[in-house]
Amino acid sequence: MRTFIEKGFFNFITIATISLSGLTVGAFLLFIVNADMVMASWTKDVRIMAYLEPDIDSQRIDQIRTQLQALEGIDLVVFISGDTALEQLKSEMKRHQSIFDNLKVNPLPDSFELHPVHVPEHFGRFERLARFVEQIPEVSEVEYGEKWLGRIANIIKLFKITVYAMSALFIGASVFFVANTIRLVLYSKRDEVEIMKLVGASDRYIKTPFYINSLLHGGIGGGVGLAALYILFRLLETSVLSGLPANLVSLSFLPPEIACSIFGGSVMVGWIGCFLSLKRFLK
Amino acid sequence: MNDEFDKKNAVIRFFHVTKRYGSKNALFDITLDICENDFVFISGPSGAGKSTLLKLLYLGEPVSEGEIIVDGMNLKRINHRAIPLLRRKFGIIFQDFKLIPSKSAYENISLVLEAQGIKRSLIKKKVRSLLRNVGIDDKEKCYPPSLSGGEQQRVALARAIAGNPKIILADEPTGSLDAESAAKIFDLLKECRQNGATVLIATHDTELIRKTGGKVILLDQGRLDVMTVIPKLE
Ligand SMILES: Nc1ncnc2c1ncn2[C@@H]1O[C@H](COP(=O)(O)OP(=O)(O)OP(=O)(O)O)[C@@H](O)[C@H]1O
Ligand SMILES: [Mg+2]
Repeated sequence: MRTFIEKGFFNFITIATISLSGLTVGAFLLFIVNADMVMASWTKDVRIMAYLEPDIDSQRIDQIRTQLQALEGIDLVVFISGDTALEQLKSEMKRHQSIFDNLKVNPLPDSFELHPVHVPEHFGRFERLARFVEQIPEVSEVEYGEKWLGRIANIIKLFKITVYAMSALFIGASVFFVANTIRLVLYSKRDEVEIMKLVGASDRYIKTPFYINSLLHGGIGGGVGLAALYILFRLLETSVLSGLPANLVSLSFLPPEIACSIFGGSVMVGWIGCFLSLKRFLK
Repeated sequence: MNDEFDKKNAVIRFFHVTKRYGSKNALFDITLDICENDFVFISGPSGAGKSTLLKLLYLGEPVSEGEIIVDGMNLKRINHRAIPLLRRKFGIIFQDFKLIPSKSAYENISLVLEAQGIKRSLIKKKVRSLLRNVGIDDKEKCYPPSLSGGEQQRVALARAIAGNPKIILADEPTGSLDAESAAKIFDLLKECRQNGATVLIATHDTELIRKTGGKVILLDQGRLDVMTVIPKLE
């Protein structure tokens, strides 16, 4: 414990580095988690509509239904006849019944409503499904969600890749930094370490305090980083989002397993940093 | 050569040992045995190689040529991991003390015991009694830079004998002490010998050797000059 208090400056630097990288990586992950949740709520009710050519016999319709149901990623297939669709439209537009009075034939085609299995991260799947459905000759047109959802999904995907790369970079940089800080401490203590060896201390005995120190640094750094992230998150939530309607976007903090991973990762950063510098120092 | 330098129970054996620093011989072709429970002086003028001889024993420096066997361990073939075990056979008073300046007198001594995995409660008792024995129990919390040379030397002695070592290496253990304190230190070293330790003392203080008496290994410019026994001055 003495070493812990003695080297106040190095302790501070190490803890600050680890907490900063914890905070940064945490912030990235927080963004991803929330972007996923927003995407999930926006894509929850996405349906793929397959409009059919007119005058297809019911046998063929059953065939197509079976074909669609067999598709992977489709939860439910609902057939909506043109008539049903018209009834629905009428009931939705009760105030404008007059529009429908003049209709001699039903202009609405028969259609299938496909309910995809809900996997928010894979918005691209809708597109693939839609393209497949389009290839059925009796299908005249396919419509799904809104195109901009797909575009946002792609942006989020790109962002995720960037985030993972940057996180790896941050973690690598902090390991490097921690290892070098410990190397400086070791260098300043080289006489002491040399004396300890001369009086018969084993490498393990010499190393242990450094490991304890580094694990502590990692733990404290991770804790501080997460706490700072939580405070920033709360501030953001109350100041920026309070003006917006509550149900438009609701943010949530990192789920416990991710928070724990960040904490564990910080401890690991301390450990690896220590391992690397000791390996060099005590060869 | 005297009968007292018997090869029986040799705890330290030098066999044609040469130590070079660069191209300069610090020790040349030394062959000697030191028996268990011996009380031996290593003497000779400054630069004769006294400290070097001790350094080779605890692998403070590697041997250039020849072989050294310490308590059955051949230092040439010793495993890296066994070095701490070798060093725990020794209690060493270094010529420059080698106390850790950022640790108190107490901590400097307890370190040795902690490294050997001795229980904390036992360590406390032991260190206190050691400090009392060397006469600096009031300096327990002091740091080496604030101690006098003699006081530092006594901390070094206490640290050397703390782990009940099999062999004690003392490099000028009385160099910074007045005659009275030096005599006290010698009494302690003799007590260690009575308790079964082998004691090697490097010193150029021939006065002291004559007063105490014992086996003497005389070095001159790295060569073994004389091995003899000097009787205690009555
Ligand atoms: N690390 C070293 N590098 C180079 N030469 C050294 C080194 N250590 C000792 N020597 C040389 O080896 C010779 C023996 O040195 P050593 O320290 O053993 O002498 P000593 O008998 O202990 O002398 P003193 O009585 O002054 O302590 C000296 O000439 C010294 O200059
Ligand atoms: Mg010397």
